[in-house]
Amino acid sequence: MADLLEQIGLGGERIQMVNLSSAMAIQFAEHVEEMTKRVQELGPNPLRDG
Amino acid sequence: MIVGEQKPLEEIMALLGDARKVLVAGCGTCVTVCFAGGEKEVGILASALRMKSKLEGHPMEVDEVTVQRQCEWEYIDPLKPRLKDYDAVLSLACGIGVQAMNERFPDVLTLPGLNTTFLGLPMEQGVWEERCQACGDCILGLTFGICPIARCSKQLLNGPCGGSQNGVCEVDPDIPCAWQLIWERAIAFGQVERLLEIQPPKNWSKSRDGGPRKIVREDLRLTHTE
Amino acid sequence: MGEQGPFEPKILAFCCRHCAYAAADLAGAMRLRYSPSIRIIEVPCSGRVEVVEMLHAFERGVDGLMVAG
Ligand code: SF4
Ligand code: SF4
Repeated sequence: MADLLEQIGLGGERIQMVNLSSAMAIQFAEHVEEMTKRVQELGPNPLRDG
Repeated sequence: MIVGEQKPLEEIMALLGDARKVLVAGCGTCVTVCFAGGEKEVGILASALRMKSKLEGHPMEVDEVTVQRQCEWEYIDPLKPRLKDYDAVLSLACGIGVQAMNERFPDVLTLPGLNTTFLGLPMEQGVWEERCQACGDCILGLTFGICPIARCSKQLLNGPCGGSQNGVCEVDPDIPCAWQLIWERAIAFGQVERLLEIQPPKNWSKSRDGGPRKIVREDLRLTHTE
Repeated sequence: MGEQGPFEPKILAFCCRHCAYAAADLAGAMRLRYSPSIRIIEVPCSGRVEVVEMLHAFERGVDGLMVAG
């Protein structure tokens, strides 16, 4: 999937698979933060708008 | 079944060139079973093409369709009224399907999205192996059900060759020696003497040597030509 | 929409009902702070999410995607 996004030209880092148990609330929040930061660095999806 | 593999997205984009309206056409039979050109793969490729073309600054309109079998007129004929809307069709069927489309609908160019790879067998999830080369004169009856034409790297009729080592082909250690397998089966059946008979050169006239092949069954035809 | 200020990404998360969604629930109950950029979709199992669905999300403009199970 990441490879396909790379081929399309969107960047493979825009997707993230994570494994969590139902008790891992803290890790969930961390993953969200990390992903947000990563995507902020990548910038908006160039397909947004229109 | 026929096994195929999707071409890289870059190559498909290059094949489509300037086409602005494209129909991605899948096939519901062989290539669905090998996860290369069924409805699912059509959806994925169509979406990928829409995004990639847009990112490259020349957005394509991409529609999707999957027919039961692209190699039979009765399944592709219903596509006819839709096709005039498209600059190109990208077929995810095997090469037979691609040619059927071009033959039936000469006004629109149908391009291949797959590489048709071989006639083979799914061994496990995600692994396919070649089993037959459609040689036209099957010798499986002589070789205990293992095809040396498709599975012996040298297509030997009297094997194994000197390069067979511990059951493995000298061409590639990932290839089991077909002749080793044939001998093991002959031993298991207690019929090794059948392999000791030297096989004369194979009759290749029934294969590709005579040009494209054709089967005509007069007993099945609706119009007889005397 | 022209972006003003720092870019606020839209991130979609497909979360398995039994693990990640429950974890997100718990994070809420624990009052953990995390970025509001995330939009969660509960799925019966993360294996349920098809590639084509992820692609459609990107086609519609999400900036990032998480599949959490
Ligand atoms: S078009 Fe090719 S892939 Fe489709 S059914 Fe026919 S032989 Fe199989
Ligand atoms: S002998 Fe010919 S027809 Fe028989 S399996 Fe081998 S290639 Fe196919």
